[in-house]
Amino acid sequence: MNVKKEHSEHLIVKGLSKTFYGGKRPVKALRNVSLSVEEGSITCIVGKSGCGKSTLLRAIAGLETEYEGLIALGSKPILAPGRDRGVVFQEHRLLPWLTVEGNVAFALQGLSKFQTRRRVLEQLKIVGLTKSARHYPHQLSGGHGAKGCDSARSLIGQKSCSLTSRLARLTL
Amino acid sequence: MKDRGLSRFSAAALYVFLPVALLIVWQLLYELGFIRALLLPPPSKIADTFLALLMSGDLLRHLGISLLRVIEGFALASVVGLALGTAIGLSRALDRSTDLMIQLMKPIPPIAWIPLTILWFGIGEESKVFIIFLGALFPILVNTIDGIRQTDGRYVELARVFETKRLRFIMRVVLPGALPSIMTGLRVGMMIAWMCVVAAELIAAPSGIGFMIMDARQMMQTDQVFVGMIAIGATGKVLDVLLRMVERRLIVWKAEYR
Repeated sequence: MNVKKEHSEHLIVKGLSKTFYGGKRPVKALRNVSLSVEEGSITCIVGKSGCGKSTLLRAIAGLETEYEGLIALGSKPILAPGRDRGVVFQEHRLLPWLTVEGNVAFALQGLSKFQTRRRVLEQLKIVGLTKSARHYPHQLSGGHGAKGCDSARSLIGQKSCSLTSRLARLTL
Repeated sequence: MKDRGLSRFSAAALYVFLPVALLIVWQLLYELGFIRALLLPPPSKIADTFLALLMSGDLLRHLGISLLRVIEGFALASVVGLALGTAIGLSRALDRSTDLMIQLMKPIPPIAWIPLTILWFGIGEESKVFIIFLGALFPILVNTIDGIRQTDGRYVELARVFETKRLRFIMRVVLPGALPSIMTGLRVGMMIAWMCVVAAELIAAPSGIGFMIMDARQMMQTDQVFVGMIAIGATGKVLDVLLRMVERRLIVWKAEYR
């Protein structure tokens, strides 16, 4: 997990437990997990496949809400997804019908067309995808382009915290 | 889909082989005296009649009138089907409250609506357009609903992460994702609309390709009946090709359209 902060908030997870009841037997994905992440630091959570790393990230992202325990960013408890947290999913989730530029712009709202374009192009420059701005995801070479675009999109805008399920090639 | 291992020429030859072979056998059977021209006119006679009707302008006039009716009915069905389908696909309550009604109305063939249509709209253009509208509506409606319901859950999560506003979510995620299904609905709708035009023109039509067929039947002009049928088939194919072209332009991201 890569946690990056620009403000005074820091992330607190206290006594987090999560059980999935969907299948035949309940699956306990997280049991009493507590952690505290300092502002400006990077924390990595390492573990074998299926040990609950993604569930923890999804809970912090606000995508899992049925859990026991407390998650707070700064002084605010996390109850739902929000734009203060950037999320890079395990597999890229680019919208196939939008260009690279359109995909990154999807993360921005309430800006003028000009401002949106300027910010998107700045972001694409960082991940080295300026030339691919008008390409569709399927036209990007290999996994790197798609992942770069995905990371650019998830990190655009003011983020207090960035959560990534895979090693992102970022210089942000 | 293009078969692998076939040259362009053999692929084209394979494509037209069956209809051409049928025409040859058909003509041969006539020449050998096995079939009566009055019941089954030979391809050569149908071709003559086709040319004659084409030259006189009758064929194009009837075809044009039918095409206009199809386009009117289809356009109306598209607007209603897409708007209603999107609303139903997005709202569980609306879906629940309309599902039974749609399931009940869907199997009723448009031709069964003819008596009521005459009572409601008379025998003018409106009744014909209404029959075509009914035929095209359900495939468009049902496919739109299905397409919207199948919105990828991963993209829904993505929109939640970015706190995407509802209208933006519908325009950028839901509708583009549903487009392949919507286009299938439109193509099936167009095909059924074209099939319905003959049924619609049973209602005291003074013109149209359906009228031309019924008129020729009464005069025992079986060759003209065939010309009408072939014109319907060919126009339907052309319309389908046009819609496929639109589909390819709109759905650039799907591997099967590249």
